Amino acid sequence: MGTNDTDPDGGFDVGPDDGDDGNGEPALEFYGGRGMSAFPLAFFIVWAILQTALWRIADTTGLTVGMLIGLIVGMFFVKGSWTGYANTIFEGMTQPVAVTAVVAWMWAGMFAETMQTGGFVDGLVWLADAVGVGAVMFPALSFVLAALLATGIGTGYGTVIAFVVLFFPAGVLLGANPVIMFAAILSGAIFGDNLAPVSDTTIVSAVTQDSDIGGVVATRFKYALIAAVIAFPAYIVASSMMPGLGIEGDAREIFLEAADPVGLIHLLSMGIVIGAAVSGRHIVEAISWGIVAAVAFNLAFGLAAIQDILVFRAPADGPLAEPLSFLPFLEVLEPGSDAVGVGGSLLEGIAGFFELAILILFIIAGAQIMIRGGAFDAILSFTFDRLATNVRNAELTMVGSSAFINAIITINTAAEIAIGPYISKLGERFNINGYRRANILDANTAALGYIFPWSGGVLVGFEAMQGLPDEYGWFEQGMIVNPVEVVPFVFQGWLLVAVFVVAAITGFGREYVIDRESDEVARI
Amino acid sequence: MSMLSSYFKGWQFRSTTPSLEPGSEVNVFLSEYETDGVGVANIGDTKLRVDGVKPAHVEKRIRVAVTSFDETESVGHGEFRGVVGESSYTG
Repeated sequence: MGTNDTDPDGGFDVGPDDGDDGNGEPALEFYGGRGMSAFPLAFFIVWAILQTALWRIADTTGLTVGMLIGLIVGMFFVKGSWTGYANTIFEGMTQPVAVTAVVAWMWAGMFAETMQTGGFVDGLVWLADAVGVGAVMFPALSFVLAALLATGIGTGYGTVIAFVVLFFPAGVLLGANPVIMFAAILSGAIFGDNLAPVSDTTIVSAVTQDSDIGGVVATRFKYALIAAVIAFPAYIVASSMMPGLGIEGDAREIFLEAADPVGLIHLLSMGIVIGAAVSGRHIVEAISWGIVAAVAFNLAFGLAAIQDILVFRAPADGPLAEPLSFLPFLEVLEPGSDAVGVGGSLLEGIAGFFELAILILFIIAGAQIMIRGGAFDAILSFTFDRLATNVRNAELTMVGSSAFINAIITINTAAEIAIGPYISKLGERFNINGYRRANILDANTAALGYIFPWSGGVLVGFEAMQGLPDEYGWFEQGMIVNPVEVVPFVFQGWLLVAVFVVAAITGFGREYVIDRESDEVARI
Repeated sequence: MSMLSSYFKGWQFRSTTPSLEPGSEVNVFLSEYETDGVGVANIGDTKLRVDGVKPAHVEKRIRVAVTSFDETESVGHGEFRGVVGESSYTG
């Protein structure tokens, strides 16, 4: 995308794509001026804040309804025929940005779920047990292992849930402070959400900034590493200064059931995807190799059965159900069973992204209305006149705007999609290359999605914690961490934002379009 | 680019006013159109004035042959060679 070759004399067809009618007027006109073309997206953002931050309903389909209502109401402000408005919705939805993200998400989902089915978490639990650290070191170790899991499976939320269920109670029993334990887990999730090539936010940051995912991962390594190198000792210091709850117990009992070193084989699956992506393979090819490896390891090492990966659950009266029941991926159900369907990690992996896939299409449609109606230009003009007056200020504006929107919208992927076009235009104005733009965007998306009490990452962890009193007799309701308390201790998040503020001011890691040829962009 | 070098590229502090090499060709996004076929590409805070562009080339990625560069003012001149790409968002 974005690399349409043209004839050498510059005869590029720009007419219909300019967002105006050739006379400097917007292609879509609105009652109330061009600012009204921002209505659908603005309505969505207000809806998202109300729904997710103020009412704490982290429901992606709810956000999609909000975007749709915004698009419908926005149409009533269009001057003249509504056909152009309707066509612009389709124009937005068919942008490469949207479909590329959807494709990458599907592949990433299959890979992540298959690795988890294959006991990757069990391997990390075994590793934690084998290392055998005490209360002071345990939060720092949990940070590193959570970072490893999140970098492998790409989902910070999944990492938070897995670690809150296993590592959090183990840490509390060992004598670690619960607030520091939870914060360390959130920090690990931030690291992986930011860096993993199969992370939904990594994918969105790359495609909205016209960059290949492998290049984005390689270039953001330095920022994530600097933050992590400071966060790791910070957890040791904080853990040594903040006391635990003084509960007597054997943390190993929690670990013994779940520990299995064989699951660590999936470090190889993870390495294959990262290695292939960074060395220049198309992300679809890179993740496909990862899926093949993960499935092969699962079957070869007995980590999962074929039915855990893919299973057809057919009713007994299906014409060829009984005759083919010997197939390892076919399960013939008892008469009357309501479990008919297709299942397994491959299916569960893609199903997790269906809602988000629909949402991104409509958000991009809303952004396109804003572009065609002129509001986007108005916001950019204001930005260039008042804020982004030079490259340093432009980068600080990118950091500030992406941090702000991610701080107020709970579902960070949605926030990232919404702010993506603004970051892109701002960066292009100063010829800041796509990697740098994607890195600024995703660092703030990942960081701010796991810090505040209304952040999605904190909420899923808090929810997972509610089940601990039922799971462990010694775990009392009062031991559940108040999300407000954790805010200052999510070191990786705060440090990542700080690294980018410093990077914008000093120019650390800055790259211009002239520094790196964009032939790599075509790989998307 | 090898996998390892990908990770270590960019560990540096980059100037706000990058230099341009006369005689070289660069791909840049055209930021503004001024007048009489002259446009400006901002490369950081460096200005590259490009001859031979049209208003429609603004926000397009264009190829420019750099003809001169003033280090003290961070201003360069170049000639338009062709359009090589689009913005991420064709607005």
